[in-house]
Amino acid sequence: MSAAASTGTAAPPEPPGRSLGRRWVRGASSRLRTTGIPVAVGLLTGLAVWWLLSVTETLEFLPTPGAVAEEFGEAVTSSEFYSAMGATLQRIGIGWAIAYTAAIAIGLSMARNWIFEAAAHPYVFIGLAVPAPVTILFAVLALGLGETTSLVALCVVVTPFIVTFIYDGARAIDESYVEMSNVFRFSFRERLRHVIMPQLAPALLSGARFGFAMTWKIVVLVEALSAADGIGERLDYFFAFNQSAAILAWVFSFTLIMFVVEFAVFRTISRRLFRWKRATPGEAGEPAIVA
Amino acid sequence: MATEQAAGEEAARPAGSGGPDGSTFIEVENLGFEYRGAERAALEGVNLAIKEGEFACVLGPSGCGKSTLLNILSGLYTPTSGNVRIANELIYESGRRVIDEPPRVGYVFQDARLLPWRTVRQNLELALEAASWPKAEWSERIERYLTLCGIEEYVDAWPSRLSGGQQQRVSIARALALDPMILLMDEPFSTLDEVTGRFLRGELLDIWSRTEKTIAFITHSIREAVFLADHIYVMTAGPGRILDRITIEMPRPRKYEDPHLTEIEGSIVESVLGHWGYYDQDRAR
Repeated sequence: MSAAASTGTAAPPEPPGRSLGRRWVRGASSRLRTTGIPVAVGLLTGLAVWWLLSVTETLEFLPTPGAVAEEFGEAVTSSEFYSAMGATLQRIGIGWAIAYTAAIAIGLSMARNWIFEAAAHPYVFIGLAVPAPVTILFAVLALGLGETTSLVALCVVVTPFIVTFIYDGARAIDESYVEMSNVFRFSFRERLRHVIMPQLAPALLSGARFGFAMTWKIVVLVEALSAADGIGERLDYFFAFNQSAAILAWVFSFTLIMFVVEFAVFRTISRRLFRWKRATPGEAGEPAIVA
Repeated sequence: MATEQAAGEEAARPAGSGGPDGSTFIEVENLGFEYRGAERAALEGVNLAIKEGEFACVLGPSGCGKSTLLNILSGLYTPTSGNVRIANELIYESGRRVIDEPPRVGYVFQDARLLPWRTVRQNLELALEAASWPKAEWSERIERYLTLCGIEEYVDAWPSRLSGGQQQRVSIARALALDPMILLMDEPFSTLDEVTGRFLRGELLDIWSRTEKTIAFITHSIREAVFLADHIYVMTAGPGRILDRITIEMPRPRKYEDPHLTEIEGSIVESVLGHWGYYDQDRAR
């Protein structure tokens, strides 16, 4: 810091790699400095309102932040929490994977084949329109309680939403690149890998992301209505015994984990996939080399 | 230097493909093409005879079937009638493809059409891979042709970082790196600004004289055609056919501003006006 101050503004140019890293750090810290304060003020205000509403018993059911924090501490140190979490995560994983695969198959077929599109469209539309609890209850009526019911209900609710992403993405493929790949006689594999997939990637990624977010929102409902274990089942249990502090604590911790998955997995994939998009002209000065 | 390298590649060409005397290299006879469901043929009775190493410009108004003709030569479309022979090898006979693997062509589109999610190097590699060039030669070829097109410093850049003119240079390098039998160019400079376009036209002639490729260049600009071509094949629309073959005898290097070039341009304008529809419009008024 002091060294930089002594050289003043006429500091020698840094090597590009390092200056890029520093610039990013500087940018991030200045972003934090500018947005950090309002974010903190917002959060603290919310917390204060919550505390006031609970201690004055304006909202009777509302536990104090302290009580929730206590429950939170208890939850994350109990094995009960992790076994419930494990059951739910497994359900999310399996349900999401099935829904995503099915949605890719359906979405791509719809984009490529007008007969299939015409036949499938009403079902996608109905799937989008029917409220999730209705689907879940019907699944329970049709299949009884159990794991299969939970997964079927989850997939039926989530798939149509992912289909819309994949379908739109596949419709938006730029034929001029396909034409180029024909003129240069790309093989089927090359065309798929270098021409089609990169164009589908944004839709595949947003579909995966959105599908995942929906899955973990719906899974709690599914579990509350039809499962014998998992976070949703626990929440239903706490609800039955009027333990509102536990409900809030468990929801917080679950949300936190989903947030981490979203950031660690999807943001990383997105950053890797779309490096080329960030390299637009205008950010002059930096080397164009990325590899 | 580049001429030597190019000369080395000449040996790879099949025997009997026409010598330096310039026997016919691309021969198109009575070619016709109809788009499915279209009322009128896009091409009808098109005849072309382009010599080896020739710079041929196909000149015509928009919608006259110029691009269709190029797509047939590139093997994208199969004609509905007529024959096409390239390097003495019959490609299409009476509107049917008669060989499995049509000759390798290099294609330069109106837009550079580089894959934006691949770097310049990767774009060229993909084309080389598709043309079955051995991997060991990729890097040398990429460097050689990017250098020939004056764009070697951007080998690891994303295409979106390059200007329109730079992208088109990469596109030309990609087409040449395959060592194509013919280079097909579809109005490659029409979207560039005037100065960049002029500069690149000059460079293209330089590249052409070094590589000795046969070029079929499509344009709607009469001046561009006169500046570039050995012969201009003038087309007319509805259905597309060849009106005239004009030999440009101006010595090279030519200058874009040369008054003689303007003179030739003027006489071509005079001769095509009636066919391209302007006289008819005048009479109607």
